[in-house]
Amino acid sequence: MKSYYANKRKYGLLAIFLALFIIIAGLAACTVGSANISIMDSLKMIMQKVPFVRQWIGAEFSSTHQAIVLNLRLPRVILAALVGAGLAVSGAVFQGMFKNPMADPYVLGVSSGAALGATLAIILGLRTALGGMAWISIFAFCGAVVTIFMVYSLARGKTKTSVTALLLSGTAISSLITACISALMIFFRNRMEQVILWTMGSFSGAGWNDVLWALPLILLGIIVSHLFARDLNILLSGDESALHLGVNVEAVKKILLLTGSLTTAASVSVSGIIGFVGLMVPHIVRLLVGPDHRVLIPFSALAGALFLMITDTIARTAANPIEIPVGIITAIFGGPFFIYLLKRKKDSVV
Amino acid sequence: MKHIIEVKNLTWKYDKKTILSDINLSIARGTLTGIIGPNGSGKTTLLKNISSVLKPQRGSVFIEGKDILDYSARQLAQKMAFVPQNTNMDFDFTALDVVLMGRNPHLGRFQEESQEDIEIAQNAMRMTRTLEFQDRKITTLSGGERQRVIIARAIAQETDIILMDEPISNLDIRHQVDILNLIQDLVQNHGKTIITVLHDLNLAAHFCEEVLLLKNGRIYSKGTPKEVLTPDTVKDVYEIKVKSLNPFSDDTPHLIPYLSK
Repeated sequence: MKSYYANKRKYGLLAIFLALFIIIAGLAACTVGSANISIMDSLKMIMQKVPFVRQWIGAEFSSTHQAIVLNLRLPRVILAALVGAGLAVSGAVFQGMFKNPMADPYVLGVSSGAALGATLAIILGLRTALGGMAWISIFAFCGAVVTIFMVYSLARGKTKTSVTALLLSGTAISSLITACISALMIFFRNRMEQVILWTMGSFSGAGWNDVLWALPLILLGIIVSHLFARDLNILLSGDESALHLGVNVEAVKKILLLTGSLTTAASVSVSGIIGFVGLMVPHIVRLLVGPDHRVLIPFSALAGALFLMITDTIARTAANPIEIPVGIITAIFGGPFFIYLLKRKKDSVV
Repeated sequence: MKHIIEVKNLTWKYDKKTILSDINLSIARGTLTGIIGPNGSGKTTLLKNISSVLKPQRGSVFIEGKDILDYSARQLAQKMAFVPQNTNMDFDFTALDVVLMGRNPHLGRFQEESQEDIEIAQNAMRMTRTLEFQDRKITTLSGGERQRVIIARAIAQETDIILMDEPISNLDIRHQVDILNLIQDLVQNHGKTIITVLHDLNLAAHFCEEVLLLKNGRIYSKGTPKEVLTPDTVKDVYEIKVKSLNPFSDDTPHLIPYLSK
């Protein structure tokens, strides 16, 4: 494997190709579903909304069909891609920051905080709120954010915050919160099913509001993470070496912590807790392109987007008309694939 | 200011244990200084206090007349490079990628390495005879080869000062001499100021202009190798008997330990 500089052009082309592939796969995903709409019709409906292309499409479509493709499927597909990208990048950032390949976006308790928020909203029976955004999402996001600050405050040392302290703090607060959620579920047994379904993670009912809510946060998170890619590379050699190479270790860790957590919080608030993506996608990408975060982060975003988009499409069509929570599909497909990849690398030279 | 590095009344403790007591020293620009002493005498601790990774409980360190605490990490890294003792790299970067990390202090947040940076890195690798490894993963290199790559990284950082913590302990004798010659060249022909912790008293005596001998966290003696490295001093600090010889009939003492009882 050659250096980053030798490969930069090759990776750039690969990224463009992958991005195009995602767009095509996304369009394809919009054409399938439980409603009986033909593939050509679905594509035409979407093209009608695109500025230059729309003049070539003359056909008229029923408003229900349009609603299904444009207001249900399209935003859902886009949201799945966004959340997939967000979770994969957070996972990559935390794995680099903690130098721990077992780190995932939820390692600092963001998921349990979000779950508590969602549980409270569900128990209170709150539905839609400001601007069409679901109260559950808002509560989940707030729960996640409050948890991040609690975890960080608890772990903070006098001059620096150790990685171990953060992980322990995350685990401790996570356990406490999970206990609270369990208690709440017992007292409000009639809401238990809804809470459990939320935690399993799903994109059903996703709309343009969710996309508008998640898009800026996740996009910002990915961009900021990429800006600190070189610092992440250097952090891998150790905190002391990083300091000697001019990296302000404390500040960088704080920024990456905040970025990763907010990206995860945004993802979780619109989709529940989808496992596997944040842990395995960066791993698989790292096995294929190496540990350099300047390559790892963009490709994790692309791979995560593709992966979650495809698995969500399977989740909503495989057991038509029942929707399987997407978290189950991610686990079923991801686990064995990772085992296969690991075996291949083990048997090859080094 | 005359001295590029000054240490005043430095005391450093680890929990309750005092590792360094009341260290005072000045390093002149463009010199090669060796820090020697028994294991546990505080050599690495002193080096890390100078490099700012450790903060003194009492006393201060001044680089070019300015307190080290007034520098940002980036500013300091533009003035000082550090070659650590252990160079374990668990990640598959290529050797060139690792050396390029030395350019980090000179790059802005939105800046990428330029062709010039790559050439600086490759030049540094040429100096340490590691250019042939540039595309190899660092995890596939031997300990000695890895050490030379890390030294190249410090050279690529283009700093006035380089601090080295036992840079040649893992190398074979040919590479030990090669690197010490390189270090001397960097000082004499490139104007760098280098402070290095060394274990081998004779190599220190031959290559260093000045030597700092530490014992129990204090400076036992400082001066030229001829002044500091005498059999009496060595007996007092290391508690072994040595014989002093002049095999090359120059001023440099060679100390040979008495091995049999």
